[in-house]
Amino acid sequence: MSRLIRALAIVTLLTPLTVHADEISYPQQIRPILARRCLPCHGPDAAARKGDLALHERQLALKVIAPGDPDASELMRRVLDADDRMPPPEHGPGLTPAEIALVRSWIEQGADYPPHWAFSPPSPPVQRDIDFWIAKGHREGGLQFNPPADRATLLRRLSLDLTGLPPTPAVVREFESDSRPDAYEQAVDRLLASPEYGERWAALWLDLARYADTKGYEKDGRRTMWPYRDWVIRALNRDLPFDRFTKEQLAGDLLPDSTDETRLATGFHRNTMTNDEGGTDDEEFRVAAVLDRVDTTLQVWMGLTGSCASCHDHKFDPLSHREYYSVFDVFNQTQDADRSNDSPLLPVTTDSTHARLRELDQSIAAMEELRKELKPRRQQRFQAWRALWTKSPPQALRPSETSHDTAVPQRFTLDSGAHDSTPLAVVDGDLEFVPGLHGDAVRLENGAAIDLEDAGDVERDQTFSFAYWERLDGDRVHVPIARMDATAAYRGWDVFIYERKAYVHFIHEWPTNCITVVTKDRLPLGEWHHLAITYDGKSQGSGVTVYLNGRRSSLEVTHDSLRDTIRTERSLFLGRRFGERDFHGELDDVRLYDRVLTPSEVERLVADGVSSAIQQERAGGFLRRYHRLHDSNNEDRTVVAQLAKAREEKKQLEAMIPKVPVMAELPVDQRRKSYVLSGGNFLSPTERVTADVPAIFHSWPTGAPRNRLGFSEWLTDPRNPLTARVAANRIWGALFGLGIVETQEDFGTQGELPTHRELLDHLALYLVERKWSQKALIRHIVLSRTYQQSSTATAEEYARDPRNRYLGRTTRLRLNAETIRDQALAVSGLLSPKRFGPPVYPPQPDGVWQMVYSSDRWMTSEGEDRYRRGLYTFWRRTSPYPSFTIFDAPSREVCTPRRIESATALQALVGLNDPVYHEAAQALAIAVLEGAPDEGNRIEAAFERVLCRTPRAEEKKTIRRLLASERAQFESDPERTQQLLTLPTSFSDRTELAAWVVVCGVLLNLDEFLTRG
Amino acid sequence: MNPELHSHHQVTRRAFLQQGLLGVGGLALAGLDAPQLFSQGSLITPHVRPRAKRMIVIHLAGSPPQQDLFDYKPKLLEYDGKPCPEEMIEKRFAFIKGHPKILASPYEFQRHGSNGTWVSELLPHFPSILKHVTVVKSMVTDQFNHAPAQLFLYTGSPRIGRPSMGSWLTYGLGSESRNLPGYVVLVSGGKVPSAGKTVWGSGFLPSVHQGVQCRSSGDPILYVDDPPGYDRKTRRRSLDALRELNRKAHEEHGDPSALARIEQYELAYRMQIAAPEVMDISQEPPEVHALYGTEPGKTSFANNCLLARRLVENGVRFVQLFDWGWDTHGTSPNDDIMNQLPRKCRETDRPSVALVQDLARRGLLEDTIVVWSGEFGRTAMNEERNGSKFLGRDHHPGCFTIWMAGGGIKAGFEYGATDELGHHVTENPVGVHDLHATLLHLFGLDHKKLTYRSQGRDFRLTDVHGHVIRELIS
Repeated sequence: MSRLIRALAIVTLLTPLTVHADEISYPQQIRPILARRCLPCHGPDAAARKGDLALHERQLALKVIAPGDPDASELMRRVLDADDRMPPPEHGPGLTPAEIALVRSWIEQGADYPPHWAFSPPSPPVQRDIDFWIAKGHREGGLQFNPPADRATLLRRLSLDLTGLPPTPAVVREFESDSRPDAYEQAVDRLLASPEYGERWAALWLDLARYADTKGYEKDGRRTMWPYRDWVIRALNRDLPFDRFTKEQLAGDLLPDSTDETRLATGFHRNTMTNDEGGTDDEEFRVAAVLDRVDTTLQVWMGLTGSCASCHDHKFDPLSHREYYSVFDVFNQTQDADRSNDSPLLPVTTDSTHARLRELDQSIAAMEELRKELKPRRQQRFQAWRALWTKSPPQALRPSETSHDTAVPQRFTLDSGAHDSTPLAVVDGDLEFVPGLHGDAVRLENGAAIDLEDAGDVERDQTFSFAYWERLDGDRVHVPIARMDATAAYRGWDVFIYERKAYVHFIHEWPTNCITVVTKDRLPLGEWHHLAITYDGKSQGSGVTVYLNGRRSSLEVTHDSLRDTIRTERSLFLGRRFGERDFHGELDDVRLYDRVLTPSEVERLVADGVSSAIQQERAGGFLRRYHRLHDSNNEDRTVVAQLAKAREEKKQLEAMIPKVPVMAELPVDQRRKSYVLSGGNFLSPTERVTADVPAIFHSWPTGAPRNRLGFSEWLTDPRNPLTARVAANRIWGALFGLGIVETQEDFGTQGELPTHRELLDHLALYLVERKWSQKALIRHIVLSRTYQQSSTATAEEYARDPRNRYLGRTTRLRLNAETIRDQALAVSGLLSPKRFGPPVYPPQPDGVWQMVYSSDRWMTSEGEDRYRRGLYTFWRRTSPYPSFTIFDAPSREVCTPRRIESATALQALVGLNDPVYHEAAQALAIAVLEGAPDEGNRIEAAFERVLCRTPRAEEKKTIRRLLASERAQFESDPERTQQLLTLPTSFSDRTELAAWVVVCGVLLNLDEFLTRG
Repeated sequence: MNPELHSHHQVTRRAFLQQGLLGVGGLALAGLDAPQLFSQGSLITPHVRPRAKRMIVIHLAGSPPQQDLFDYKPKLLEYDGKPCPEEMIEKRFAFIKGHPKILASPYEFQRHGSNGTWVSELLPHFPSILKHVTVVKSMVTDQFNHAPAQLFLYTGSPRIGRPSMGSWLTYGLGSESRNLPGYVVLVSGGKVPSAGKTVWGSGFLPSVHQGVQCRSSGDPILYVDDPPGYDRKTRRRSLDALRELNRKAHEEHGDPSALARIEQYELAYRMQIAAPEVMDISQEPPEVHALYGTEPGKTSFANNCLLARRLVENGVRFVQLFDWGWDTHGTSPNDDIMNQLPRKCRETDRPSVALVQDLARRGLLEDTIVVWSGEFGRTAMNEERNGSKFLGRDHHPGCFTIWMAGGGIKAGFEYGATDELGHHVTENPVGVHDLHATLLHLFGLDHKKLTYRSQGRDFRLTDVHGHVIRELIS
């Protein structure tokens, strides 16, 4: 370390060319040269290696380096050789004279390759104290601690850092007058314990977790992830130890004590994108998601840029292509597979829903039990009824073939060898006859369909009916009958069965010019049943009737806009609408009529089937159902009805339960084989690999399973040199603006070196020693003198350490996107305290969402949901909330380790013109005017609310001047006053209010407001 | 090396980077210490004379069929309706299933211009600008889904996270405008492109370099309009007060970023005036409206072409136009080549031609590149999805046609060729990275030197690929 600090000091004071006078630092001075000029061809990437020479390890480099003797080193000869120079000119410029001088001195000094600092575990430094190490850095750089910040500034800083919200004026005053010696400590503990703490720190974690409310890629459809977001908030609030926080998110489904809660945590890695674009290969995007999980895991926990090694050996860090895919294998064993329904899903219930569901389950079980008890008696009645019917069917229903035949214009008995009105033409398969309800039936599957040509060519102003028997194989889409052209906006008519409900369509153009009626009844599966549909020719949904087994079905009309012809050139098909696999099951006795069948006619059709079914074994299910409908004894009918009702309620409750994508491991016999993917391409697998960790690090924990759980144990193993350092550095970065390692995302050899290595080790060990308590670490840091310093500095001090790497003051930080908005809402009193739940839609400009292939709309929230904290705002990856994006929020398509801050004019436009801020300015103005009696007090109150301090005299003057000019303006222009004031208020002096709105607009844009000092 | 404490001029540079406001002032051109900023050598290759200062990209989102517009293939007629040769179905398709049939272009082609370039009857206006244009028939990509292909074309990588070409250009060269963003995006056709706003994202570059979407209805730029009840005087006075307060605060705490904040707000104020002005095409003379076919107040491709001219005229570095509706699969009349394609051609042919003519007569074409492109090509086979009777073509990465004009691009030139069925490039393939390298070269930028360090690596637009295609340069 002393060498490092000395090198730092030297770099500060001397020009680079004279550095060779002292000891050369390999990581600081030599490695960057090698990395840039040599390692691409002579580095860790074995495949890209030229001339069998590698320079990243001493042992390998000794081929061309003679330690202590630059003149005898081939390396020196080659970089100096004008004719045959290294690197070759086509690979870029050669080494500069300064670089050559450095390399020369380094070889002279022995060409030392100290191991990369971050790859050996942290060791306890001599002093376990933050300020000690900061002070040491000060001494080396000629700096010193600033005096402590004043109480109000300190409290505002602390509140914004710990909770993302400013303190109220009352809290500030209380703190300023609190003379207890531990007043600050008390404030720290109070803020750490507040529920807002979790919201503030979750917002940071969600960038890493790439949390969003949509799936990403082209379609970017919605997905339910918010319960995971709420899990993060709760986990942080209860200070779930970071090692457990890690294990639950990476492997909550595999923990021996796993619960729904820990399974929900695995939503972390289900935040990967899902591609629903038509024509994409699900396996390609499943692999892309797994690659993302590997990259994100290495990035978030170990600060490694693993993605380089997805295509080839890492060019700089000791992570080989093969090792990368050994980690890939760990994450390659989950059930999710880029499916559009995002399965597997975890239902997340509230306690009350859960209780009601349990109740329902119990009563369903009880009723089923009762039905079982009633069953023998029901069966007796059934047998008796069957016997009676066989002897003498009821007169009214007695079949009378002749009368039917004459009344049926078109009938397809679907019997083998029958002479139907049109011969059967089967397409895409063979005609298969099976025993049906009337003689034979046809069986259709795997795309086979029957083309009935001109049959059923009806117009919307004609009356007609059709009826048939069917037996459906399973709960899937079935199209038993259709005369419809799917390529011409679905013109025609059909019966379309989906989720066991029959949809009857009469269509000119879908969905704008058509009728759809849907049965509320669900159709039985694997059991014969009869459907009859009648239509009165009046182009209205109410003119359609559907009979199931002779009983009129209650219907829902979902489209009722038919105005134009439904005729189409396309044939009438049995079992086909789109073209393939539209029907799996059996059909029998299809009849078409040019009139509306009466209920009794329909009933008779069914009775025909009953008579026929009585003779058959196969139709028992249908008969029992039919008998139940007609059974005069209703002892179990009540139970059946209640049972149906309970099941329906259960179904509805379950439908309302959010279902969150989670991780679930494949069963052992379905585990995937993983391969090294050449160039990261899923179509180019090469060598087979199995779960393992990179060799440079400690080995897989003994006895730990070779899966995500074992891997997360490896990550949080005390031997892991990076996890605690990266976590501690991230917390430090959030509190000081810059990490101790500035490249929070890269602790590898290409990352920045730590400014205070011992301090970082201390913090990392502190985190582990305090049982991975993040709150304990935060508390430790904010109680330091370093954190509590003032941020004021002179120009000379800014010049000396402009980015404040050495913390001779506290950095003034621009607040992040969410905090800027939250703060404006908070100081104006608009902020809603509501926590958790589905995302909200605060106002955003019209037309921001223009989705490809989607009509999804931004429905601006009403009431308090307009004013919720930013982290509850709906996050669409292809179109995030614009004012957040403008303040540097990422799209959350991939993991973002830190937001790169920028300052653009667009940000100024948000603060000045976004309706959110205009509303906040109005609310603030109203609060100030109503709360204080005169101008002086009001200015003070406004400053206290916004900046947590009283205004200085000149500031008051500026405000008074602006008030005066605007008051005069608005006085002369009541119309403009009217336009300006959009919030309701009881404050009567509109001119005064308008002038104050302008003033508050200024205050909400102050640099001091947007900044944490 | 990594100097830990930065010297003062580096601070200025960093402040410049982070607070570069609208990307005003190029890093390289501003004469800052470019050699340390960029990985090696100077950003501007000294011996390359910059030919272009501005660029307009017209993107036909969804991708037009090259066989029906530029890449004339009479041989297809011979095979029309017959199953295509086996070797044409070796690769994966997005939608085609089974063995597809050849689909000849239903449109007539004629030779135009001094070098006899074939142009389809769907583009009656296009031949009049052939004298300015290079038609490249040998573009290739390796992506065949919209979103990754668009990302690849604009960021050099099919995966999300890289900066787009416009961001690289404003990062390298800055904007010439004091009042407008350096990189502006205009969208027509009712939808943003498939890859969403990431195609104009700045990736790991500071977000000051991301494309700013301007809109021809609503606020021309998000939040550019004052809240109701404000007028310019009130806004000016409130900004004066803001400046005073910020300046006083700066005297107290000493942080120079407060001064940058003042400039940020002043720039916003100038933009509030400039943006609505430049976006208001109603001031253009009738003759210009006649040329483009524009109607003020509408959102249309034609309006966007005229806006593109106004924006580059006002110093905007990079203007990207996206027009949605070119994904002609043939599943219905709304996406086939008999109805939809002629419709899209009618909407775009005249305005894009007008843009080139207008730039030429104003002397702007000399240093403004115009590029016309989709994200990939389309198959020589009929897609026939689910037996559709509408004619259409599936996605095809193997070849596609683009045209370019101005800014040092050869005039009246054709480059590259495909086989007789228009399936593979047979001559002078141009990859996406080659196109990038060539375009950057025209701006005087060496694509190997325009780099940015992120996550431990120097990234560039062309990744580790790309060659300048010198034949395309006049």
